[in-house]
Amino acid sequence: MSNTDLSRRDFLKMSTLSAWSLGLPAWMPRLAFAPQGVDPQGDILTCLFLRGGADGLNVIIPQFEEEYYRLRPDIKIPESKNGDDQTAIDLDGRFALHPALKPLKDAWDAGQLAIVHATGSPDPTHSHFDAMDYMERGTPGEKTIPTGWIGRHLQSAPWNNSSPLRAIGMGGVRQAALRGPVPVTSLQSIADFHLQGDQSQLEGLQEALAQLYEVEGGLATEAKATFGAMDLMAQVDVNEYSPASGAKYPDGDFGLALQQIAQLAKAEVGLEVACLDLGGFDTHANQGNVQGVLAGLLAQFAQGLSAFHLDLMDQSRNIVVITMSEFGRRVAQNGSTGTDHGHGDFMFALGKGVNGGKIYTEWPGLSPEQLYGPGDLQVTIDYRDILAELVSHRLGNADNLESIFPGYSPDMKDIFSP
Amino acid sequence: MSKSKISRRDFLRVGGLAATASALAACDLAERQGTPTPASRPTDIGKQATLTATPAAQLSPQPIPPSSPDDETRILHTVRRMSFGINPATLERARKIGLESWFEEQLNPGNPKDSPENRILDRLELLKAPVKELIAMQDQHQVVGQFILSTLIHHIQSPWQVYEMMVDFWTNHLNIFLADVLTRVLKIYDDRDVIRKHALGSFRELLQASAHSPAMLFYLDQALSTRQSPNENYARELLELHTLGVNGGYTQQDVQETARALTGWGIVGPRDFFRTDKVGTFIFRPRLHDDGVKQILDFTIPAGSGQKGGERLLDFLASHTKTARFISRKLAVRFIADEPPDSAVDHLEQAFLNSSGDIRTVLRALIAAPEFIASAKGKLKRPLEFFVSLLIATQAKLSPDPTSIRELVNVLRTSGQMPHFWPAPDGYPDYAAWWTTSSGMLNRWNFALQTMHGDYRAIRIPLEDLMRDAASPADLVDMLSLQFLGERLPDLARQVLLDFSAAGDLHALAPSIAGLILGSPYFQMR
Repeated sequence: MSNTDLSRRDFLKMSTLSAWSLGLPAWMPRLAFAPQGVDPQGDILTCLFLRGGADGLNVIIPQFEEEYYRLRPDIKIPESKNGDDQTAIDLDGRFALHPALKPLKDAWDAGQLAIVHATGSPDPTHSHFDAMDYMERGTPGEKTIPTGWIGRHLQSAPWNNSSPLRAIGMGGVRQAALRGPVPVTSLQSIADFHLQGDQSQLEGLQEALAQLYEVEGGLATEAKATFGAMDLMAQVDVNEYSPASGAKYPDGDFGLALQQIAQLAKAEVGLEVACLDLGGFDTHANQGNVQGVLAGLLAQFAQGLSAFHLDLMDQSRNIVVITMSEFGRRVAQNGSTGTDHGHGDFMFALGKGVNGGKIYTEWPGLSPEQLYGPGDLQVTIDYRDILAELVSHRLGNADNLESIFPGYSPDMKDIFSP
Repeated sequence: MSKSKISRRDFLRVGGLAATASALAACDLAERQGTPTPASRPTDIGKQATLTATPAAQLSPQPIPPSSPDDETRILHTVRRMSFGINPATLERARKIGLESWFEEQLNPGNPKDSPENRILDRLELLKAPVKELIAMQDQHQVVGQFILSTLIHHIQSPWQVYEMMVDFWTNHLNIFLADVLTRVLKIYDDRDVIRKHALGSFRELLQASAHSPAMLFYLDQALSTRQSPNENYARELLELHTLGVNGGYTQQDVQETARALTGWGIVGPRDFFRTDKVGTFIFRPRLHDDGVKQILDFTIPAGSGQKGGERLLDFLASHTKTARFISRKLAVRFIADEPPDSAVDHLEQAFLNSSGDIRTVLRALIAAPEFIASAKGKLKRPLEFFVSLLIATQAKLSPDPTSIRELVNVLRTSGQMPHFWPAPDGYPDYAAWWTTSSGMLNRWNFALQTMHGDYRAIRIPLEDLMRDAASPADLVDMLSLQFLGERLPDLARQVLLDFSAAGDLHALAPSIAGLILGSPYFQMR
């Protein structure tokens, strides 16, 4: 991969970590620094997991399939019609987007949004937990390796990044994909990532706390990392954040999470990977069609990602977004105008390094003999093909694919430019 | 059997729990009692926590070496490690009657109905309602909220701290995630009839209860398993997580054979809803059972064994040496160290095998083991332990109103260890690195500081009482250290606090001083 004029970030002075490791007294003024020794390569990865099993067939509609319309009488999206925004948005004469995804059409037209269809994990499980577990571990069918695919990427990466904010789990959790030896900071709110309590005593409290952890060996390293993270967060001015280029994030947790990732990316604190989730996709009943439960989620999804994409467009360091879900949903609607757990699903890849404006698929078809198991869309592209290419072409870790996706030989689709 | 039509849609939206406290409206959660009132025999049992009455005479307690120079230290270490939290009253009891007697007392909890703990629990009406009613309830959040609250109250208020630690241990070992409506309801019964009933009893009986627990059978899809289409989920976890362990030497074949053996084990479901009042209870359905020969490891189930075949399989698994090893290692991780020495695991394994899996016997062996004795302050408190121990140490008063309860649940959720919300059957991780992320550390510090600063309307700390008439910073620091830690701080740390106290008025700084001690590394370790 090359981003040849990737300028080294000239981080200021010493990090709080190295100040301590030199044995300098803790009363020295705590200067806000980014850590030294960061040599970031590649795009900043944002990995969005849609929890619940997102219904790919209603997200990217195969308009050429009679079966789609026949099997989904109440939840189908009407065929695209010019000027009618209550119909699907045509993409390439075959597939069309759910109208709620309109905000992402610009990125599609600009060639920065790629869509993969009939993709996912080859494991047959319809259990949310197992499916998510396998997908985030990166080892479908196997639970013996305790790390996640991103965790293994970070661990094996041939560069040095000791920033406490190298990997972030948004929503206050640590997503399973991030599991591994490289520490992860779980973050709910940048603004709240500081000591609470009596604010008038804040500095004294922080000093005393830091000293308590220094004189006692046990958790000293962890405490230092925490203070380091707090210092970095403090650099990010949360009060009057103005997204670039007029981008407008949607209200709510999802929009806020994306905005905070953007802030951290811009603040150059050493962020490499951020994971976040959007839940509620388990639409077993009353799924809706053009309007309704799924449509509402897709609107959030699209508004959030398009704002994020626009906001970070002019950054010198690229962002790449990848989305996935543990499985898709049954082709036929069920008795509650919803859908049950399925198999094949979709992925979105968004960013400057994406060969977008294209649907990547080996479409298996929807006639009865073409379906998988109890009536699901087949998986014809293993999701690891996409992720492996992402790691190789955009994240700069091409040499370690075998340890990141053990036992798997990826078949790259040219979705990302190297 | 027809699967219930209960929608699983909202199981992923686990946020926004709002426990009801209307039952608690008029009640002020009392302070934790320091001195327990042991029952003469563990037979007079209150409603909430039933225990098997294991005749104490059968297994003589392991003698704990009598007075040594380290008696003080040893008492503090043992009581602290084997409890959710300590305060001066607990320590006083152990010092007064001696460590051995204290531990025996703890292994034989009584449960007088009118204990402060039970008086509060009694008002959680939903936890007494029948299954049918709970499933039909519109607002499931209330059910979950009351259940979480009941777990918290038990942990904080109960004088039977060793018992509560074992309840937590087995809850995680036989973890059931409150993912959906039915599981949330059924788990209430599992907590009472499986975990709390057998936490200090026999592992075989605990396993028996769990394998017949509708909550477990539903959670792991056993209820869907039929002869034509056996479901392997429970079978696999039975071997991998509950008994032999992942290195137990079984194969995929053994998992499938186990699944076959358990076909027909199910729950009276909603289709039977109107036929019987037994909805949500265990049932064996012979017509769904695969009655052929099965072979699991070196154990054969003859054809025609019916339900008995599965029962005998449980016997085999419970008494297997791999099970003894697996459980012993987990106990050693819980109570000795993240990476316990093999010698300690050996010791516990022997006790397990020699006593046919008697939990009390294994625990007696545990606290007498030299590795245990040498492991003081070596285990990090997980967030739940930190939370509970802080409330115990500060003699906190909890407010019962709905908003306050919601606040407590939120704090727990942020901490990452809300009871019953680990989303997999294996239970919360038990090693320090999992919990010591930046946000994990910051959460602890903030909980300590904010609690003492009075930021939570749900929690009132009687700081004036804790301060008594401390006249100087040194007085206060020492007083609070003794209260929270059971001992004085080391000199260097003590000096840090004295320096901090020099900054201003003692009274104004007291909450921060207390918060610093509670946030310090000394209060993070058990």
